[in-house]
Amino acid sequence: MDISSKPNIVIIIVDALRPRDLSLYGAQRELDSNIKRIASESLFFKKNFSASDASDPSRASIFSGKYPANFGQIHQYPYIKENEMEIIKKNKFWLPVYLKNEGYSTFAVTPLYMWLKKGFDYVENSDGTKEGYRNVTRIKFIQKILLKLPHFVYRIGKWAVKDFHKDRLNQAKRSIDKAISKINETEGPFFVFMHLTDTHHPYDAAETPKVNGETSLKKVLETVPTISQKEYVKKRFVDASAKSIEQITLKRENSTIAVDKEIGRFYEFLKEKNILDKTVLIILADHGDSFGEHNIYYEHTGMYDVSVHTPLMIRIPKMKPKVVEELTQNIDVSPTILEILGKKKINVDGKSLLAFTKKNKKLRNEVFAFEGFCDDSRMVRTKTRKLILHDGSKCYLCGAIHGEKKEEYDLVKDPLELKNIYSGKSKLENKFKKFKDSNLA
Amino acid sequence: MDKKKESKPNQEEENFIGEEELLSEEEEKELKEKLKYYGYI
Repeated sequence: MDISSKPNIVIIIVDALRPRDLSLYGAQRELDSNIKRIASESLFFKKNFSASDASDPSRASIFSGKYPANFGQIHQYPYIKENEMEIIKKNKFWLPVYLKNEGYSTFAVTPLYMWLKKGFDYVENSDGTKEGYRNVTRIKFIQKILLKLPHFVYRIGKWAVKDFHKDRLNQAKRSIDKAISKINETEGPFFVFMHLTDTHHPYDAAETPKVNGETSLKKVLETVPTISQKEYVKKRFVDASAKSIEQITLKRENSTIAVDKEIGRFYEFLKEKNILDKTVLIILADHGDSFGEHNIYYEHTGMYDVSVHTPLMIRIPKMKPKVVEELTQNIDVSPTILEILGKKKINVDGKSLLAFTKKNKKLRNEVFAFEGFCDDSRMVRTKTRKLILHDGSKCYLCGAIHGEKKEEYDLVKDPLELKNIYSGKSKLENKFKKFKDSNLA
Repeated sequence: MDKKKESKPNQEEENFIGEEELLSEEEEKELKEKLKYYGYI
């Protein structure tokens, strides 16, 4: 292919964005007018799932086209295990490296480390260093210590560093500014990857609204089963500078509006620069989030739909928009890009979504996802049923055990996954046997 | 869906990344040391 005919590729991850909170998927309040407009011009996937509930393994699954168990990284950094590193080393496909080798300028306007940054000509590290992961490790360790402190000590600590955190506000705006700047400096095709995190707790693109909420922290704690999780939830409220669920919800919604506005600004930039129709624009989320569902507050742990059902849209120049109701996964993004570039199929778990432009073809009967915040938990989901297996290990973040060892849900009668109907045997159990790394199945 | 057409990851994978290593031995060593230092592994 002539280098000038290669489309630009832009992947925008909107962190923890849940379809059920978007008007695009039927929510009442419109937080997403720009995303909705882009979806109306795209292949828009309504039943899309991330392969992980954690950012790092999810991003790795997008770039590798593989499920976390097959790529190697199942756990969020720094909880990654030594045996995972052994598998990661063996991989032979990685989207940013592939695109760089194809002549693309590759920019990640978001902090990345180790394998995640491979193939990028430019990586934005918010700490200003080339070795972001070292600082990430140190910061994660400090966070771990802070989480063990009583929440009133934690509150004092947060107050003491509040000025430091001001630098982290409006991350989406800074990322979009940087993306525009890098594109303006570039000649030839580019691949831009951005991960907009303001939609993740504590939703710092918006100020904490001054509203009174009925559902106070005290009320919330009555529903939280363990002491360690109660402490964790208290700190999540401290982080969001909020006293009620309603305050946090409004702050989150306002942050989503702010991020949506930035995406709209980027879309207009591409249009004004006359490169929108030379650019494949992909918008998705790395995982969902739990706002109290299943007694999980402001974490995206758990294999429930709130944590793994994610938006996905792919705007391809000159391609007719279409709404797809079949099961898809974020691992399908890389194979789709390769087919757009006219390349042959690659040997990964994901499948090209261009199949849906030809006919209403079903790509798969079931989707899988892997837990990134405990030793081993995973789910398999069809359109009508879900099975979750859990080894009983504690959540790395809050110390609780989320869910039971085996949970099965009838998603037609019980879409909110409230009633575990596992009865000692499930037809879905043998589906996990395709993964060799676990003793759960 | 035709099961015979499903891909089989990690079997005779074609190399799409050339000389690039996703995790070199040196990086792996450094990463393990860091994670051990902080008590994660």
